[in-house]
Amino acid sequence: MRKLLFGLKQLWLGITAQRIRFALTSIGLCLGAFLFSSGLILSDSWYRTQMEEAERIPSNTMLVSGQNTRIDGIRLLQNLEGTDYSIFMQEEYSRTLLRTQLPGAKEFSVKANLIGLTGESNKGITKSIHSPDYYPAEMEIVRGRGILNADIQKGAFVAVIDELTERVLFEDHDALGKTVTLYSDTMRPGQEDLNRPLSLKIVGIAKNSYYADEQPYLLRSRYNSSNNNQILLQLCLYVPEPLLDEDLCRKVYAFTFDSEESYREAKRLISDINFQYRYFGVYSLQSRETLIAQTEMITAPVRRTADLVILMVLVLSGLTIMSILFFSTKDRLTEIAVRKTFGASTAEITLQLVSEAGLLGMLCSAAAFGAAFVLSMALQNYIREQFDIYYHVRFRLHYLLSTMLVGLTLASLSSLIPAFYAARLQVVKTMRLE
Amino acid sequence: MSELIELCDVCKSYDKGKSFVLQHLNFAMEKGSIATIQGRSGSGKSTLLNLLGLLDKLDTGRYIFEGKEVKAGGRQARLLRREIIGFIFQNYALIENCSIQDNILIAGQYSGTDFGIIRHRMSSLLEKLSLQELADKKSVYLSGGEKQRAAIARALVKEPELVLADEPTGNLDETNALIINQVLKEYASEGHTVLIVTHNPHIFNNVHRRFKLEGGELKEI
Repeated sequence: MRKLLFGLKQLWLGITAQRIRFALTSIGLCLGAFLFSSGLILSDSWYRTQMEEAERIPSNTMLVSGQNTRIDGIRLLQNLEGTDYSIFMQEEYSRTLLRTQLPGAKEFSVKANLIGLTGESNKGITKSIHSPDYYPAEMEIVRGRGILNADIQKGAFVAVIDELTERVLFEDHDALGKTVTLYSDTMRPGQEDLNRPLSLKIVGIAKNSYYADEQPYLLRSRYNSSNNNQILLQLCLYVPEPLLDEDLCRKVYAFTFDSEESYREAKRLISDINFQYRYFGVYSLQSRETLIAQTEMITAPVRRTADLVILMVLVLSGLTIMSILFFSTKDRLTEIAVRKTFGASTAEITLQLVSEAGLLGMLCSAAAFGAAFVLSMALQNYIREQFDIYYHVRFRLHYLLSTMLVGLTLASLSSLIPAFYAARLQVVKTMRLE
Repeated sequence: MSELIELCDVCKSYDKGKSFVLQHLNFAMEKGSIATIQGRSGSGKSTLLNLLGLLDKLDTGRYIFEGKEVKAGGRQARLLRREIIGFIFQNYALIENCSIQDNILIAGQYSGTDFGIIRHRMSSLLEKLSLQELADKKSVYLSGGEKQRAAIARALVKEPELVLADEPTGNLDETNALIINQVLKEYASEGHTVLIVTHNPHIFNNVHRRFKLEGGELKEI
């Protein structure tokens, strides 16, 4: 044990013996490991975020969506044998919450998303609410009540908002019983009922949704229109479905099946319906598999390119480290000669020098991982804002371990040839020159 | 006394046989003896020491250790250097960024002796050589005498059977030279074999044997 500790101390002394070499090698290693780690974290986080989203759809559920499609097809699917329940939801329908005149004579409007909800089932109503994250989620009502079937049937002017929306709109006040007014964005002649403001009484507060932790970002972000007068806040108001303007919404129907056979039958049926109504618009069908395949297809080329770039950077960084180590071993000739005099073999000296580089590689890569992780977190918002790429960075042990492994491998491989070259020196010649 | 090492008909050249540093040299040392080798600069004293320490290969001849032939560069030679042979270099050859303590322990790192024993021996050597207070000091900050004492401690820490000292007092003042003389003699008196290459035979008087190396030949004086 004491010998091992002494060996480790020797490794550390070997690493830090020459400050310039230590600094240059560390920079090379840190850069290589940083680029690897950043690439890994960014591409893997993006991939995982997309996959998580896709995998949230139960395997026996399909999402059918379409604009200007006929309802007949949906009815056919709803009545299909084996359909457990189907859900109708309207996605991202926004209405203006507030209009205001700001300095510079620009009119700004602040918008909120409305999420409609309803449940239809041929085996009894399934209690379900739709979160703004697109797919059915069992959302918890923390205060008040949810939207009832009675509200849906009569199109009551009620709304459920989530905790975050409550905080944004009412700050610390209780939103229950208060009213929010929504303004129509499009003026359509002859459809005054759609154009007039919609006042809704808040009857319930729902727990924040899946993306709640992302909401602070969304609140800060600005989605500017071409005339730069619109701010869209992703606020969630759940309203009875009849209040939504169906003409403007994309409809998504989710069907859950009790068997693989029914699922396949439904797919076939959609294909038939699409053929039959091809002149009216077709249904697009998404399922867990199609979303996963789509995610793979989108992310694979980016990941492969990133892998190639990282590999090239690692090779370059390795060559740089190798040249530094070639020079640095010349500083340590006496030490190597002394070790050989005391009986160290070429293999032991090589191992000593490679271990030093490996240890430095691991330490540098751990530091580089920290920097890469912080940067990836910081870039999260920027990339989403600028490129509309959504990803969520989480700490995963394998990021750290992979980075350390790469650091270790890079340093060890780069040092192998200089170490072997140094370890083969002849003691007599060296001592005479020294 | 039986012979510990023996060189038989050894030749050594550094220019592929054009001129020989050592020519048909025969040399033997008994266990527990202390001897000096004198000679002018360039007479081949260090070369002889390197050959005896198995640091360099013979051109011709045989190296015999305790009756068995050993080839420099082989595994057997390495094992002898780990356990049996201790070196003291003229230029100290200490690792500059390491403390005295670490320099000494490096010798123990490669020997098969328990590290606890090595540490214990190191403490007593540091005390004997008046280096206790400098134990944690980096060797780069030491004086010539301190460095040489540290180099001796490093050579002796694994208690080698054979100590080869190349001009151990060459760069030292008389006080330090006498300390080193005393330490090496004491070590030899404990039954170990010590061979000292020196310019200064007066320091190492009263040894078992004295040799002079001249023209590639070794003569006992």
